[in-house]
Amino acid sequence: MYRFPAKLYSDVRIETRKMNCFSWRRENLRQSLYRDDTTAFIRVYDGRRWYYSSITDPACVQRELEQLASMAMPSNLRGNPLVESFEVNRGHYGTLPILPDGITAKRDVAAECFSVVSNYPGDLYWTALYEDRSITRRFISSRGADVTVNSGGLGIKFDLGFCNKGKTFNSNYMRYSGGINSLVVGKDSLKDYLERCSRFNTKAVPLSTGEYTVILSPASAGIFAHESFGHKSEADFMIGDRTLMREWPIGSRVAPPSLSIWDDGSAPGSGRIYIDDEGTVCKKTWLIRDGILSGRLHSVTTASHLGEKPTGNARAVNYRYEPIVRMTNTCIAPGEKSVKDIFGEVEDGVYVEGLNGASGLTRFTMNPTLAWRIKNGRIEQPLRIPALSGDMIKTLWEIDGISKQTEMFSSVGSGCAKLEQAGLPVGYGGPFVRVKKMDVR
Amino acid sequence: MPRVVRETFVQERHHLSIGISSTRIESVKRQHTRKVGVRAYDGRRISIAGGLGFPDTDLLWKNAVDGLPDGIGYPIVPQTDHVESLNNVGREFIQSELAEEIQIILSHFRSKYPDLIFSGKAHFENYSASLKNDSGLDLSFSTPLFRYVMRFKQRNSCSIFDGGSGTFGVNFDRNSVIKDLEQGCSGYHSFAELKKKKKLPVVLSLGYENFVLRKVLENLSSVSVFEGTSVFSPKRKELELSPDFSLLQASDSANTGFKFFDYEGTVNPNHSLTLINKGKAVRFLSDRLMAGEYGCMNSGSAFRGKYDTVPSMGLPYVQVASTGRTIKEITAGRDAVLVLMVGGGGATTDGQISFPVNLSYLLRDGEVVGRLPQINISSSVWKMFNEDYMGCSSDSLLSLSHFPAVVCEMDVEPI
Repeated sequence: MYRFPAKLYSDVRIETRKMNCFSWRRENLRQSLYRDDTTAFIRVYDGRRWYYSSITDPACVQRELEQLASMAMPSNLRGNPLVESFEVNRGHYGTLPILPDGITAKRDVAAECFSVVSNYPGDLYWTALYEDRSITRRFISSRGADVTVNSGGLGIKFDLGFCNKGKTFNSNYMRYSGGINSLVVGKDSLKDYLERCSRFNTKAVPLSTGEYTVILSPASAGIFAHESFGHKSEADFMIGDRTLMREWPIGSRVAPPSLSIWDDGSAPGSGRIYIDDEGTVCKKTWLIRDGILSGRLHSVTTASHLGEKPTGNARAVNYRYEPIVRMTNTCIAPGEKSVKDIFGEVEDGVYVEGLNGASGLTRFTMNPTLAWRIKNGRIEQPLRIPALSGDMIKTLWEIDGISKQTEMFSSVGSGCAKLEQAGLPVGYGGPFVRVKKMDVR
Repeated sequence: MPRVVRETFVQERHHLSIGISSTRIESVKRQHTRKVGVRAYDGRRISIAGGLGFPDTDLLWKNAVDGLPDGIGYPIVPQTDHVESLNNVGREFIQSELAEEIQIILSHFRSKYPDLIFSGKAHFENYSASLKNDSGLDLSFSTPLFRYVMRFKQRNSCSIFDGGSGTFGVNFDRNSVIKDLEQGCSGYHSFAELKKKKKLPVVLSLGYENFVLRKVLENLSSVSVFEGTSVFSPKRKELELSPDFSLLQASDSANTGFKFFDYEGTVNPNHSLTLINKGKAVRFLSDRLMAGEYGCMNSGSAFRGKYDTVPSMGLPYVQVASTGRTIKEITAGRDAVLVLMVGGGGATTDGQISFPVNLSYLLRDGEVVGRLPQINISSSVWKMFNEDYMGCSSDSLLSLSHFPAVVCEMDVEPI
């Protein structure tokens, strides 16, 4: 298909993205977007450096290959460990999502909830979003790989601003699915959520800073896993860093035996990509298994530097960027406690139901939206908390309860940010997780 | 049949970026993107069609005009009769020169700080944008842009990063980049102490001031003001901030490389608009549609949008008005904390903020005393810009671009 330059490794990623996006301010339609673009990202490697080009016209791929080759220094790459690490897969993977048929049907997915938010009796400002994507990626390499991957999904999001007697509170409600047939919009759960938020807004009080026992909901636990451990597992941070390699040997105990965390780009969720952007088949990677450090997330480059295997985690947010090591769907595995026991065993603590954002490397920070005081095992006073934070490793050791019940979530209208690449769709989730001590700031 | 106004937005970028890993060049990326959006207005609705590269504009026009019956409600006359062009001139680079410049910078840091490992990216770009319609609007802007983000870690550190720096501007100058990056590294090897929680002057610059200013801007949004969720809302007891605090929406195109018009083609006189004057909110952020809906003045803040989307109000680039003194003068006689790298952070809806700081230096009389241990800083945004506001500097921590520092008293606590 392409004439790949000699004595260099080269690959081409061609992406066709179709997306529909509608947004409303209250019931008024404010955005109606349809995109159908085909773009390309080209890479050339000479054993020393990578040369990249990003273009909006795939007809120019051959020209770009030649121009990048002219910048590189061709060399004998036979036996080069990095080049040898590329998988050579061929064929088709994944399916395109089944989406609502036509503009009206798409708009109706979100609009069916409008009556719930508009008839809400309190002072509520709201906006709504519907978004769907169908993505076809073709990856072709000078080593002979040629795979076509289909993926996508759809989701809705309501941003909610509550105002009551001078007290304000912002939150959101999201639902995502890999296809319209499995999307559960949940009018009743939205209604219930509005009531909880409203009660929260009028009754929430600040909490004194200090250390508290914290219970994370499945959504919060998923974000905690993503931020606290997932990013630290991304092996690009370890290249050329012997200290981190010494500190993080595979097989070392890093958490209590009850804790296991995995990442899997073939599992359901908005991080399902089947094959990553370097042609590696995605698989389940245990980052922590029974408290033991069991794996890292890799691209071909990081795997080759660290002498490990690629894991299918090289992802680019779109055609403008090179693939870097990213998470896909990251989840804490279920534990053995009942949810009742997780809460019932807490005399005085904090329950974090939702998060508005989080970040983390060595220290993590999470920004709660809905948070509640737990007294004698019962959820009581709502709390306004700016941030929860902690040292990642110390906090893992503080986990003392994990529920059997788990749930997965996916972001809509936003995603994970790393370095310059923001908005990458990822899935996250887990059980209820109890942490003996966490800093409330 | 009402007259259909036709408008075209074109944005083009020629981009080159250099990736750095382990203090060496790891990658070179070139990119050319061109995005075209055409907008049809009929006085009641707007309809947009867009494409990448050099799309068939006749087809785009057909799609936009055909889409009007099902378009977005937009009962506003688009911007008319304004012709303005601004072209920043900067140093021209060729690809091999850029790699050479970055090599020299990296060699400097490799030899001067052998115990630090650097990684990051440097970007060079030629950017242009134009917005034109058949009602006399003709705006165009072009600029070179340079930006970089560089992180470092000590070889024996278990952290992923220990510090970093980054900035952007119109002009690239190797010595300025070295000087700005040195600022983060030079004080790294000496230590300062902070034993317990204290209220101290905190110097926020390098973009970290935006973390707190964002909260102010969210409250200046005309939606939150007129829906009653803002502290500046007439529905509530309107908040006044420090009389020393003034805030402007300003493109400052010559320094920042930001275009001087918003996505609706609004151009403020002198490319600047005062939002808060001496502590009192005087203008609220809006786009043309929002201004019509809420009966307020349009602030020219339609900054949320892409080439093919309906423009809408987004948070603009803002500047805090200088209070006429240097950082040294503002913090005179007091120990102060210079924030160089934060690790996340959060804010409640009502403005309580808290963020852990990975790298900060203790300043005494404007001079770096040494690196502080990991700290957490917290406050209420409304206190920071009221009784705890100390000023906005006339000088800049950076030599590459002039971005002043905001100084406020905040609670500083060792972690």
